[in-house]
Amino acid sequence: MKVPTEPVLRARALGVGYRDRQVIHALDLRIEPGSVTALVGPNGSGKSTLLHALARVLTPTDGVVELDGTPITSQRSVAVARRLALLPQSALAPPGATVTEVVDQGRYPRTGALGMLRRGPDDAVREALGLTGLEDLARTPVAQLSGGQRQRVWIAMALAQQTDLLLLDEPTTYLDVRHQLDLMELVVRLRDEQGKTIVMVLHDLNQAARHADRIVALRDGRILADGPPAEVLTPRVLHEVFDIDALVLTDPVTSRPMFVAR
Amino acid sequence: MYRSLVVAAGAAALLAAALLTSLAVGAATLSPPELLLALTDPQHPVHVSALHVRLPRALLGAVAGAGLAAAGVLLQDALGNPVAGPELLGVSSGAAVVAATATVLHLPVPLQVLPLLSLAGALAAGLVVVLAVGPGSGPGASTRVVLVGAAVTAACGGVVVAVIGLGTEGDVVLLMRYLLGSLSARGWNDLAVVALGVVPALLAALLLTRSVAALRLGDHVATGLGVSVARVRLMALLVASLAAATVAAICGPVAYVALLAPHVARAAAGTTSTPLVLLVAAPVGSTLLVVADLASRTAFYPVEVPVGIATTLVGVPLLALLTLRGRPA
Ligand SMILES: Nc1ncnc2c1ncn2[C@@H]1O[C@H](COP(=O)(O)OP(=O)(O)OP(=O)(O)O)[C@@H](O)[C@H]1O
Ligand SMILES: [Mg+2]
Repeated sequence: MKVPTEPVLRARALGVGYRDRQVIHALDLRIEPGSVTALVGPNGSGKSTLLHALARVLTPTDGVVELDGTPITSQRSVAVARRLALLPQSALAPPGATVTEVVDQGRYPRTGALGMLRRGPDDAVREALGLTGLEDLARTPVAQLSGGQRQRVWIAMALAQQTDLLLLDEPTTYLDVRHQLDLMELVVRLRDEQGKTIVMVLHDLNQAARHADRIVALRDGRILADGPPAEVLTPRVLHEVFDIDALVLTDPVTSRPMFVAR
Repeated sequence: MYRSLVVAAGAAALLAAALLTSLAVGAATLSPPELLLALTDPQHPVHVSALHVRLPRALLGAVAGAGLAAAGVLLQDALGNPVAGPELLGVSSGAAVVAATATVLHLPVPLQVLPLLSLAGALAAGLVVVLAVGPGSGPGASTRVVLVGAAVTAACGGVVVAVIGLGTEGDVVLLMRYLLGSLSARGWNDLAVVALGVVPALLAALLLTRSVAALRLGDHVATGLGVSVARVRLMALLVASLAAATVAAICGPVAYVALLAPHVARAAAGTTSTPLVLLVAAPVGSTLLVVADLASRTAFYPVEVPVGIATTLVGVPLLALLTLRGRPA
C-alpha cells in the first residue's frame, strides 16, 4: 500500500565490534522517513552498539552506514548532528551543571564556536524543557535530580538538537508509568506532526508493540525478526529471541498484539 | 549569563584596584595623583622605578594570572578532572631544566635569550606530555595525563638536582628565580614574552570553550553533538600548555592560581558553563596573582617572599574552604 521510499538511514553489511570482539555481524537495516522503529533484544544482544554505529559514535569494522544516501562517516560531524540526535543509554552528568546548561548543549551543532555569546537559552531549549516537563527544574543541578528526571534531561537535550532523526537508547528507563506514556505519546506526536523519524531501544515489548510502526528484534548481533508488531510479537519469535514461552493476545485498547509470559 | 557578566565586571574592577595598589605601594608609597605624575614625568624621583619596575611587574602578574586561569579551565573541563592544573603538564620543570643548565654550566646565553630557551624547555615538556597522552576516552585521557606528567616532572626534577650538584652557591641563588615562582625583577621584555604566549592562548581558549563544554557530557554524547572529541581535547591541552609554558618560562612555577581561579569563578558566578567560567576566571586569576605578588613583596618588607610561596599560602586554605563548601567538581 505504501509507496516505497528512500531510507533516511541505512546499514549495509554492517559489522561493529570492540577490540577483538565482533558484536554486530553483517547487518542490513533500512529506516524509512517518518517511521517509529523499536529495537528489541536481550541484554548484550548489541542494541546499543548498533545504535551507536548508526549515530557514527562508533566506527564500523565492516560495511557502511548511510545517512541520506551518503556514508555517514564521510559527512561533517556537525552536519550529521543537525540531522540526527542520539540519546545514549548512560550519559555523564557534569558536576554542578544545571538542567538548562545541559539541555543547552543540544544547541551545539547549530550555534558554533561563539554560541556562548548568545543571551541565554533559546526557544528550542525552552520548548524541549516544556515537552519533557522540566520547566520547574530548569535551574536545578542535574546531579541533584532523580533517575527519571535525569533521563528526561537527556531526552530534552536530544530534542533541543531539533533533528529530523532521533535515536533513543532505552528512553523509558527510570521513568514512572505516567512519564513513560507521555514520552511514547510525544514520540508518536513528533512523527505525526513533524514527520520525524525515531529509532528507539525498548525493553518493554508491549510498549514497543503499542507505539512503534515496526519492531526489529536482535539477538547476538543479528536481526532475527523485522516487521510490524503483529508479525514480530509472536510466540515463535519471542521464544527464538528471548527464550520465553509466551501467550500473545490482542490489546483491547489498541488492537495491537500484547504478550503475557506463561 | 547575566550574573556571570556582572561577576566578570566585578572581578575586572577588583583587578584594576589591585593593579593601582600594586603600582602605588613599594619602597616609596605614592598617592594616586603622585603615581600619575611618577609615571608621566621623567624628572620625577621614582619615575624609572614606577615605569620600568612596578608597571611591567604588575601587568605581568595580570597577564600571567589570566593565562594560568585559562589553562586551568581548559584542563579541568577537557579532562573532566576538577583538580587538574598546569602542574600536570610538567611545563615548569621543563623550564627549570633549561634555566638550571644554562646558569650552572655558564653557557654563553645572553640574558634576554634565556627566557626564550626556558620557554622552549617548558613547551617541550608540555608537548611530550600532551602527545604521549594522545587521543582517547575522557577518564582514560585524564589518568594518562596525570601519569605521563608525573613521569616528565620527576625526570626533569632529577636533571635539575643533578645539574645543581655541579654548580656553586652563587649559581643556586640565581636559580631560585626558576625553582620558586617569582615576578621579581621582570621587565617589559619579560612581559612581552608572556603576552605573546598568553594572549593568543586566551583567544584560542575562548574559541574552544563551547566544544570543551560538550566534552563534560562524556565522549559519546559530545561526538553525537558533532564535536571532534579527540581533536578538541588535543587542542585544549596544547593551548593550556602554551599559556602555562610561557608563564613558567618567565615566572617559574606559580602554584594554585590555575587550579583555584576556575573554582572561584564557578562559585562566584554560580555556573559551571565552560565559556562563562573562562570569562570570569581570567580576571579572577589576574587579581589573585597581582594581589599575591603585592603581598609577597610587602608582607616582610624589605625581604621578598617568592610569589609562588604566597600563592601556595593563599591557595591551600582557599582550596580547603571551597572543598568544605562542596563547590569544586
Ligand atoms: N565499550 C565496550 N567494550 C567492549 N565490549 C563492549 C563494550 N560495550 C559493549 N560491549 C559488549 O558488546 C555486547 C553488546 O553490548 P550492547 O551494549 O550493544 O548490548 P545491548 O543490547 O544494548 O544490551 P542492554 O540491553 O543490556 O543495554 C555485549 O556483550 C557487551 O559486553
Ligand atoms: Mg544497551
